[in-house]
Amino acid sequence: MQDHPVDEPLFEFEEDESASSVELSEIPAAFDEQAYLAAFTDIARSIRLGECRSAFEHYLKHGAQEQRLRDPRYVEALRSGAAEPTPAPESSPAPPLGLDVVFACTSGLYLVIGWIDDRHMPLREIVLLLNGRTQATTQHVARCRREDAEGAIGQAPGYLLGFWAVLQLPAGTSIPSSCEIELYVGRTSAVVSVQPHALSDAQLRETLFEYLAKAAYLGNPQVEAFVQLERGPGEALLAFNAAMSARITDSAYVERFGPRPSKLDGSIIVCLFGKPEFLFLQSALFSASLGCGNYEFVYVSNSPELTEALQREAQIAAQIYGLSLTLVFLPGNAGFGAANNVAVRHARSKRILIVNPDVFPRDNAWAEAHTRLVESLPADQTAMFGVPLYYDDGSLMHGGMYFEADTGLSVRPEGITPQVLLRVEHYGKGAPPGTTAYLRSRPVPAVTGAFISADREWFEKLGGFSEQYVFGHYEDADLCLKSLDQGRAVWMHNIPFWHLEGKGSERRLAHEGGSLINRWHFTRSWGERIAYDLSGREPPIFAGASLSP
Amino acid sequence: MSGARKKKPFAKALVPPAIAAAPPFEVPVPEGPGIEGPARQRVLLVSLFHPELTRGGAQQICYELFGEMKRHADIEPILLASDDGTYPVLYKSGARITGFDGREGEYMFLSRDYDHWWHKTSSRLLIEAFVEFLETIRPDVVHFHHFLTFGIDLLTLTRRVLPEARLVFTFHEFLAICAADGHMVRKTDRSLCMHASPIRCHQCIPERGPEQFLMRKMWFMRHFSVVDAFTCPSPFMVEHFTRWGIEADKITVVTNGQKDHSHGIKMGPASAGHNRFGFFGQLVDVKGVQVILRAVRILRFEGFEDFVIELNGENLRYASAAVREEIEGFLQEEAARSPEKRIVTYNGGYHVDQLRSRMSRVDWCIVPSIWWESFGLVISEAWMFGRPVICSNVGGPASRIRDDVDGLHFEIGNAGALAATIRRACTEPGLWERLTSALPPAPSTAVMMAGYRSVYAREKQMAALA
Repeated sequence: MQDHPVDEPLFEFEEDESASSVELSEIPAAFDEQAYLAAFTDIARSIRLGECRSAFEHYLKHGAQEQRLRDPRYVEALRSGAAEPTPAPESSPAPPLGLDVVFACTSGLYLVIGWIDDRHMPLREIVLLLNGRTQATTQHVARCRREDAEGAIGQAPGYLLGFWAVLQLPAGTSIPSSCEIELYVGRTSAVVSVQPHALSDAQLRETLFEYLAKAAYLGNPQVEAFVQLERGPGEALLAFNAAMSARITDSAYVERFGPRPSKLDGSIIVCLFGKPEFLFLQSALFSASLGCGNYEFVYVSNSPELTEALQREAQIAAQIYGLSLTLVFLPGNAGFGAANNVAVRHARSKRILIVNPDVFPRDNAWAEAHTRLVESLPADQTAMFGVPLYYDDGSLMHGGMYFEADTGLSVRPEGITPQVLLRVEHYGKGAPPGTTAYLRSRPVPAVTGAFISADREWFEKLGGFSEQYVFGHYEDADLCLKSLDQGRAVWMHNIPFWHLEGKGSERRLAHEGGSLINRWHFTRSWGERIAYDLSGREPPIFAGASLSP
Repeated sequence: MSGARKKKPFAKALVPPAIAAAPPFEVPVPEGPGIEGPARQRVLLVSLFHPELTRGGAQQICYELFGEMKRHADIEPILLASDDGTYPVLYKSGARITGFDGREGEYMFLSRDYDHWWHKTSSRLLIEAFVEFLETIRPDVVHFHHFLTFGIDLLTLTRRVLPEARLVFTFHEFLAICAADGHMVRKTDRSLCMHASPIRCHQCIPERGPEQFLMRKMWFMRHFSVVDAFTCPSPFMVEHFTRWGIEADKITVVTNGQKDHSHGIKMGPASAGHNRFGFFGQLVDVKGVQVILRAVRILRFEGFEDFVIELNGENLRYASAAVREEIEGFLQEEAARSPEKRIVTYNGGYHVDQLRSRMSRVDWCIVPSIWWESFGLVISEAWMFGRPVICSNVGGPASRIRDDVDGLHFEIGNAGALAATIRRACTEPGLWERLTSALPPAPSTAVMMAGYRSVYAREKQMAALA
């Protein structure tokens, strides 16, 4: 923790010669000193420190270049009459606070973590300054419980003292050896000089989602996390992750092994993360089926560290099993959706089978059964479909999926906020293996991404998996809902497979944070749609279809 | 069947013709003892280790079979024995399969990058070498005596490279079923395990989740699915493997056969009182030597001390710490006694050439194994020298030895029961003579060969029908 330095200037102001180039004629007549001060609260401090003599001088030196008169905060300040004059900061000492750490990555995202006792003067904005200049600001600050801070200030539980926020600087901005974080609290502010910890994008993402996963709250943690993501950094986190995934998939490298059959009935797409052994296990077990020779494997790796092992195992699998096998290497973890999308682009058939690494045939006739089914059923029933999946104990794990909406309450001193949380459930989870109601062919609201057979053209028309989700979770339901909204419900057809759920990849704490934000994103994306006619085991849209016993 | 194949030096087939035209030296041709003609069956024996490099039952039997096959004009045996890095000097630079000590038909598979959980090699080059070896040798029968150090997936590879070959697999223990050293002894309470399941196996190996054992079994079964015939040396093993999932009509019993190290020379008893007992085998937990020592303590406590026990064997370093400590502690105590008070003597390891002298010093052999003991080669060796066996009442020994007819059983792991049996062996008049007179002959290599001929031939018939 770093204390708030109140007595000495944090930087020396340097005259900016370019400021003199601003002509008086360019200054809008509407320039309002009070509105300017109210909109940009850091300027009062600059005046106090003698860095500039007035808001007008600040505008001449910086504001014009930064186009601050077009800033929504200034416009709002003008509209509201510029409020009252900003009280002198000295009259309102900053509340107790601590800035724990600032992480920064090369793509310009900064993560600021700290605590503040702002019960009487709410923290409303965080500003990142380099050499006294504002680089980024955010009012989207997430709060969380900090028991250590409660102890430090002798505060009983009941208030979320912790805060964290992300600030986005232009990509490529070099990470400075020090920067200032200014916290605006009520009408005053506090500046803390810090040394940012430089991380790679991947490290910062890991840190972010670990923090999200670990964050404590008062009340239901899922509900409170949703509330904080909504008013805090949720959007920024999704954008950061999506941009990172795009950069990773742009650098995909493809290598092919084994024969290239002239006719393919399907392309088995498998996304690997952390565990290379599933390549040879699946190769062995899928290839035992007659007709498997008409299928190819496309493995996409979200784990750069597995590259050598996967190359080796692919060569061996091609030799032992005679499989046609493609490896798509990614230089980082693009997440389940983005990785599968890029793998589909390198598939060579018109039918894709999205398969988890821990899925194995339960029946050696799977290939012939799948091919026959696709060729014989109406296109609407095979555009996208799932299959029954079984646990290692023999019981059913998956017989399709449906949605439930829970409503939790966030109870805070300032009021009670209801929060909807969507839940995805599996039909027949844990049921006896022969429960025919779950095994028969039927349309369902969704199927698990552990196994999806899809017409490639349809999959691509839907835009593939959404790449907005972090790491993995919920993009399968999202895809199925897109299909439904485009006029084709997903189906279940009875080709049994094992699914050793959750065993096919590494699971780290950051992934829990990813699941949390994914659920929040899924809820806000599909909550209203599901509430309309898709909620429950027997959703109204499937009236009469009898989806479960 | 190979028919009138053109015989070709292995080394020449592995290199481009231009190079092969002038090899620096001639590698022995794998053609058997100079027999020409179309009827020879080429059999590749795949052996876990070479018995002259690493001792053990599976490799000993495989090598006995190899030796026997060489005596049959219609069979052309080739041995591919593995090394696991124990002899680094054998790993010539860039070599993956090499000859062995200039011997005809003997090759070494230089195992590397071996995954002991999935039982596969990750060496692409080793796999390529194996493919090239198969394509060069082109055996009619490929007989695996184990998968360890080779990789279970080499079965599928063999089937893919040689779709017409007969593929035979011999189970020498239960490693396919049991990931806990293949002993089928529960690590939770040391009881014998009757069947494997994901939960039961997880209890023995808690660091692996139940699903890992399902995958392991699927992985093994996938590769065993390409095997034409399985064999094992004892009937009770058939029950274990069929219960596990091997098709009953694919598995048969072929006894382990050995050369007669007695050379037909009969030996009388070692002592007039028939009170000298011997243990032959490795000093590891499952062989149960500690049960003997506990029985000695009991008898000594009871005041019965008119007997001796000689321990023959080695590899105490592979015993668990507790058992090692127990054995070492006992032997130290024993050594501290005056010579006339000593009951147990440790003779160290031995070679088959020393069997006669070691056996001549005992009247009985004790086989106190606390696992299933798939066959018990030491039983055959005891019979060769006219020594009845006192054994645990389960598994291979119990199925081979008839209690109170040609040997004696005692309750597995029960030192008190063994103590009582030892006392009976020493004191019951006429017992040794009665049991000795009923001893069956030790199974010979010829008997074993006949068994495998049947398996190979049956496969040939089935292939012809197909």
